[in-house]
Amino acid sequence: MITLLKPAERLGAALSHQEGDRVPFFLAVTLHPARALGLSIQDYLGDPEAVVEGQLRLRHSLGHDAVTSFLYASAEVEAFGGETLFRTDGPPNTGAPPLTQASAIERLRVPDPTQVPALARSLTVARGLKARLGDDVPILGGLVGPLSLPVVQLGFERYLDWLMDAPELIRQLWRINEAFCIAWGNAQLAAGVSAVAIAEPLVSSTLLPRELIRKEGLPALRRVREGIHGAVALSSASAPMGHLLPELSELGFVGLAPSCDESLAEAKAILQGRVALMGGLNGLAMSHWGPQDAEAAVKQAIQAAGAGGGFVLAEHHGEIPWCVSEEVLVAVSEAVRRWGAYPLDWIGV
Amino acid sequence: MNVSSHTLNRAEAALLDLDLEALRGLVGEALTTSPELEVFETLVTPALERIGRSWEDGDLALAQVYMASRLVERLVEEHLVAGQLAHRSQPLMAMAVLEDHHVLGKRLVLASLRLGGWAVEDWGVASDPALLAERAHAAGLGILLISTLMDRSARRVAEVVRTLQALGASTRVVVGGAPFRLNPDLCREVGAEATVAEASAVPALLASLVGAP
Repeated sequence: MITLLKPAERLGAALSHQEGDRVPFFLAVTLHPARALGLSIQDYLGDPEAVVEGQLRLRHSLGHDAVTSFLYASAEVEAFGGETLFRTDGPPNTGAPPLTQASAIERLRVPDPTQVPALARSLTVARGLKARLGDDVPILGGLVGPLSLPVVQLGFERYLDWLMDAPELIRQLWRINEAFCIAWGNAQLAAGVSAVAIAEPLVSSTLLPRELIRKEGLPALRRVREGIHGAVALSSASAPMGHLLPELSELGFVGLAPSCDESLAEAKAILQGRVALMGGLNGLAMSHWGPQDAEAAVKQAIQAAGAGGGFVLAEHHGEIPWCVSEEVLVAVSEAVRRWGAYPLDWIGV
Repeated sequence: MNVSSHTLNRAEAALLDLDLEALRGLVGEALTTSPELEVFETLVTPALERIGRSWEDGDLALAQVYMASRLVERLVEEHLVAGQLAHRSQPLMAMAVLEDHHVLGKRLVLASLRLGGWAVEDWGVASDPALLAERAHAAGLGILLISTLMDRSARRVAEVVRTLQALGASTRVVVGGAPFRLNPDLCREVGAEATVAEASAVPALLASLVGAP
């Protein structure tokens, strides 16, 4: 008789590189619950109780193996004086970069995340989810990594200009960001999240030079990972990890989520038995999918990376686009149940 | 003008090393036998294109493409100030970022176009697709280039195209940015005419659109 595991047990098995009852999966539905609750995106994200309710409702309809207390990336820029622009039909975006003068960096101190209203709301969500779910369903927190935050703090153009003309300023900002990321990650753990996912697209050598990442980026990420007192996963938010994947796998993250444009099978082989592989689904592509496409994509990802545990099926960017229908998400969920049950005897038949 | 692969390698290395003096030296040497636009087209543009292709192949970082472009921008500026760089015969063109404050892609494209002798107005950030289309129509643009960062903004290009059609405008819309690179069907879906994956390929795309050599 097959014993169904609780989501926390299922994820725990995957992270321990064992086959549980099926491949665990998580769909980062940060916006869709607003639709389910009949609220605008702004009203939904501004109301921690609604977010708790929405996460639980989507967890019920999709049956995925985690919920998230993460609200939106721009909340972290608010900690540095930035603003968030809300849309009615898409994720909140950052407004004009808040740090535009060198003197602003020189004066900058590490913000206390608990004193930033948007981040405090996220902590309230974490506490609310923990109260409702206990230890059975993992709660994922999230933060933007120290190398990527300057894209929204300064604007990408100014970031690269200063990297070229005033690298010491950038190093100073990275150090502040490291301390902020550690404080923000630990605040989320204290509020009840089970693990923190760092979104760090700038760890991709398609964005920053590989040698710079090796020399300064990887040590910074290691310090952040070591400073956060709990499980930490790293996502490159759909940017390729490429040749840096083996080095990233040495930093102590429990899971890595590279781009799904990279070979899942090759990534699995590199991480095998040491670090869990997360991802396999492309959110942008999902907007074109019908149920059959969803099933094919799920099947393909599980075939590439599911055997032996160590794999969590997820969307690789970290947020399911608003335009993806719930019908597609339900099809993903059904396909995981159909094709993800261990043992994966259908592979190779 | 025939440029040897050795010279091209040196130009590429100068760009990657951010060595403006070396680049000036190579351009100066070529200018002794060829006119400015030809030197830019046969030496500097191909070197920048190589760097763009290396980024597309995953061998270089966007930061390196940007920094190389900035160096070229400086060089182009020197020649424009000196009044040496001629412009092409071309339709009226402008470029805008739709709904985002992050204008890196626009700057890369504009640098690449100026280098190729294309004159493109910089319309900054546009927050309203319909207003952007109306402005393009009123200005009589032949080509409107739109850069986007977010999937939502990319999808709003469809509103620009629809408004242009409703106005009976003949403006052609060229799009770029991560959403179009990651989702190859999106360009067609929003009704844009063309897209390319990286900035240094935009001059060649425009040349093919307007039938220029």
